[in-house]
Amino acid sequence: MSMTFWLPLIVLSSSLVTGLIIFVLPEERSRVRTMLNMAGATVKVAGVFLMAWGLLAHGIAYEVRFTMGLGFDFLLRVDLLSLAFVSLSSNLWFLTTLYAVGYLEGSENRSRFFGFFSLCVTASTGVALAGNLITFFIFYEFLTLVTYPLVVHKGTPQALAAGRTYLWYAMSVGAVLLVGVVWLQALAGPFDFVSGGVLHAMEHAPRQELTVIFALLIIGLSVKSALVPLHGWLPAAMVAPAPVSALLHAVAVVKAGAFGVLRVVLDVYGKDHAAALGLLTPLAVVVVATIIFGSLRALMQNDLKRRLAYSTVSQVSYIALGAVVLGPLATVGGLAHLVHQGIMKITLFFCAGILAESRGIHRIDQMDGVGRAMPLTMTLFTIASLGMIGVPPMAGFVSKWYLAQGGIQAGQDWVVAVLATSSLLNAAYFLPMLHAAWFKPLPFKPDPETLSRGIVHGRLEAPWTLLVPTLATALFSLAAGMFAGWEWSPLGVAEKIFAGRGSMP
Amino acid sequence: MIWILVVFFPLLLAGLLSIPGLRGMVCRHGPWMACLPALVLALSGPGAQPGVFPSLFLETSLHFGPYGRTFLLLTALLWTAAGAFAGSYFTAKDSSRFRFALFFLLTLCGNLGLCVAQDLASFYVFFALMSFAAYGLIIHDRSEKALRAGRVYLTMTVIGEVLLASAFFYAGSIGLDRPILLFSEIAPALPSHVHGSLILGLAFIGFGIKAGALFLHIWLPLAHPAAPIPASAVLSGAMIKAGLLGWLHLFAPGENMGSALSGACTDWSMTLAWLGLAAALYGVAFGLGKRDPKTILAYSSVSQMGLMTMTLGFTLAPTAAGAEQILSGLLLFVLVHGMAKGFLFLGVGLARAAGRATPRGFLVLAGLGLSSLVLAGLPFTAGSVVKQALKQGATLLPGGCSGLFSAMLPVTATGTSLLLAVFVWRVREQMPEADERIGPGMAAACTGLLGLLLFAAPLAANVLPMEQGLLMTGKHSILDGFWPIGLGLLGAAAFLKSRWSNRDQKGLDDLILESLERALRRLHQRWKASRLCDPACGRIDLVAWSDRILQSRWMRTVPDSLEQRLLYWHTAGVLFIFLLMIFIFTAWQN
Repeated sequence: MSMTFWLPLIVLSSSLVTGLIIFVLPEERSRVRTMLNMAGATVKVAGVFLMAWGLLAHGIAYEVRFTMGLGFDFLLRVDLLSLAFVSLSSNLWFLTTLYAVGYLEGSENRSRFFGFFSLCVTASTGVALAGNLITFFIFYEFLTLVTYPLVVHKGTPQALAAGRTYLWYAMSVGAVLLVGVVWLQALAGPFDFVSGGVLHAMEHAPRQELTVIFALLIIGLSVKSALVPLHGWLPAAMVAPAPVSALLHAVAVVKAGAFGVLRVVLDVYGKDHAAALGLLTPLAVVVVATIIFGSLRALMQNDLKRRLAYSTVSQVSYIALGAVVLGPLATVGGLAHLVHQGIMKITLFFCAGILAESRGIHRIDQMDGVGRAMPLTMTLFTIASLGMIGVPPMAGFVSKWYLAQGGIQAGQDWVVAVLATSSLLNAAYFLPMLHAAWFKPLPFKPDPETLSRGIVHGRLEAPWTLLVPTLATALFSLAAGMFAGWEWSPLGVAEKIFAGRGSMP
Repeated sequence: MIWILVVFFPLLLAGLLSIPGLRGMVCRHGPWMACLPALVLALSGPGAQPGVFPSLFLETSLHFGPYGRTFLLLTALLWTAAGAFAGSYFTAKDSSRFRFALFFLLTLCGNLGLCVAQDLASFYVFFALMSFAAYGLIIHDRSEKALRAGRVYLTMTVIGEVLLASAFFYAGSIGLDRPILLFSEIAPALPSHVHGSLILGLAFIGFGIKAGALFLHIWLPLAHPAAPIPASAVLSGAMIKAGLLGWLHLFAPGENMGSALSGACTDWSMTLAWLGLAAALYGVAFGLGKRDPKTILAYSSVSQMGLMTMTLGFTLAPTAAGAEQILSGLLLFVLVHGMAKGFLFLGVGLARAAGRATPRGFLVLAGLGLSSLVLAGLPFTAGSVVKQALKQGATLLPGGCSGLFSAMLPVTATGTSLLLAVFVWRVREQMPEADERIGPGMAAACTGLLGLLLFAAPLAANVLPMEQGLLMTGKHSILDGFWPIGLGLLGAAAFLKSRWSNRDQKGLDDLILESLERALRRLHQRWKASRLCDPACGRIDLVAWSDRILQSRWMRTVPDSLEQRLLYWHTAGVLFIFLLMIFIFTAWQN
């Protein structure tokens, strides 16, 4: 019972405990709540850094294992892949919490909100650290349940409908996932995630059954990772407050789905084995359809957050693309995009939240000239959206570079065509927004009512609690591309993960 | 470190713009100061150590390479001049000058960076930075014309960037086991690689959009004139060369010469030569019909870039001997055209403030005329050395083509002088009656550039190992230099007398552009009107579908009636007996 045992538990429970305490805090103790939140987030970030240092520098294996009966083990284990996801979600959680504190200042039901907020991050930490499919499944479904109250937080009929849609999608597919998990367990016996996959070691594996199980697992994961045609809940869920959107799109939910796809393809089936079974081609078709369809749908939207949501549908599939393209560099690109997409998209949603809060801007046709009124916010928005298009030196370019190289390596030249088409479409829906914001005149003076509804602030265009996290994530997404060659950049870490996966337990 | 300083100094100044106290000063002096480090570096010689920065982008390496120094020199000179010009072009009260300075500095950073970038990733980064930031320069005026130009420019740029990215994706993966990013390693491997012609083809179009290759140039006559004067000067003088630099990096003349792989090179050589020649003639032919001096200059740029493309084609020809010289000639061409075109654009700005009949007006027109003549290849100027290099280059082509291209060269020179003579005339037409205020920066920038063009460029030219050199001997060769110019001037006089010159003629690319725009607008309208554009279209909402099923009449009536039916005794009894029999049957089976 040493640190190797306790550290993953501390990281997991830092948000769990704070969440539970926050539930019982009275509504008006906002200072205590904020302190608790930030303390929990700090502990988590520090713990993750400790684990990263231990694992990468000293090769310490962190592992927690309980037996749950029925041959199922509850297993938390830190490997390189989980480290990537957990460090992303813990760091972004820290920033999102700060943002949420500023965003929700003075609104109702904050105890409920922050309580579930913490639980949600607990769940995503669990998803990241899960060392086998059943543990993964537990946290994955837990995540569904605790995000529901956040989606319906506003309590409006629209929010309730969105929440119902979300539950419908997630729960029905969760059942499919469970069938897949149990069937695989019955077939292959208890197993842990092993890089390179476990199934190829199975003797006389029944091909048909493995194919069906793969389909079940991917269908089970496809709701959260927003694969077409099961993506419908994501644009509907944009009625939630901005921090929740950030959480859904960048920190926890969508990422958990994409991460699950990576786990299944890389660590359960193994990329080569899956390819040998002929499973990757159908998945690739779905992924490509999602990338193109998401961008096309984004083009049609006029609601800012809805457009961003469809953009997520398209961009998250890049991660899955990294899993289905055979070239090793594509895997690196997909892993790097896990982080890149997170920091860029969270910036966009933060900015959308600031625009909505301080100027009442919800639609794209309201964005005329807003660059002049809110230069800082729009600069950050510009950085992130150029990154999404794949304009260097922002982070998105690096992921695309590696994905394309992987595709060419494997002789799958269609990847380049898909990326090029997607970039064009991305440009088609991001650049007009930027043009309107920067180069069109402000149509009218913002009416005093909008301003008074907005947040009163001094010389800054928004309260610092909103601006600082946005600034941080935007700078991250710039730096992740600028210094992509650095050893510890997201790309560098992704390369390390990829290189290290052969040798790690 | 020197490389980082040189490339990112403009960004640093752009950062200073955010400090309100310094803003006015940076707006005024930032633009011309920004490339002083680059100027010093380019002049100080090739001694600087290559800068390798493993952490920056994907392992950046910054160095001159074979062409970087010339391009950096030209870029730095031209941007300094344009910056000085801009300093007094925008008055202190002009609120738009902050915006201008910002985009100017950003674009400059990209342009400086790509001159010295030696690897794919950083080249692409700087190229994209330059291309996208230039949008802000082009639409600076916010006029309807500028916005349209900006729209066309941005569309073409995005397409170009995507093609270029695809080319670079392929180029980066030609190494089997490790990513290769250096141009110097990629270029030699290209002709023999499976994807070689794909890469070159994509890059040809991608860079061709920037360099104004034939029919990829349609944005150029719109965008270059739409920008403010100092921005047009750098657009047409320096940034347009970025495309050429990209071609040079990938086609790498001099690398593949004499090798067994020259088959592919021959194809490219002829393609480039023919396309270049066509563009050279096209630019002249359709530039003549324009009345706006800046538009004429833009067409002249298309034509001159065509000549450069043609020269590049010459250097790719498989007969190796002498290609080095032609390459040096091409670099000199870049330098001369850049400075001359920069001066011509700035001169247009100067002419707007000079009276038609005043001494100052005369000086301005004389300057414009002189630099036009340099471009046309007036003997005893750097332009004539360029022409000699072209002539020598044409001989490298195989057999019949060689004679043909040699014969066409004087025609292009005639065209250049014809077009530029018309240009000077148009400038004169539009000059005001009396002198107006000219800022000191404007005058200094123009004088400096003209001085460099007339006196320093010949010095650079003299270094080149040309047969004739600057001081050509023999009546024959001097005559060769003069007659195309004379012919061009005569042609210009005839043209201006004719009735064609009275109104703006529509060129072929206007027609192409208009029909494209019309088609796109129609498409856009149809898209707007169609159901496809409706945000709700294509929404896949499984919940709504399931709701529809759950709330359908069938679902409401059928289960109810089934249950009703079950309440009858005989239904229940029959079912019961049926189940019992199944039970007995299975028990009996076992």
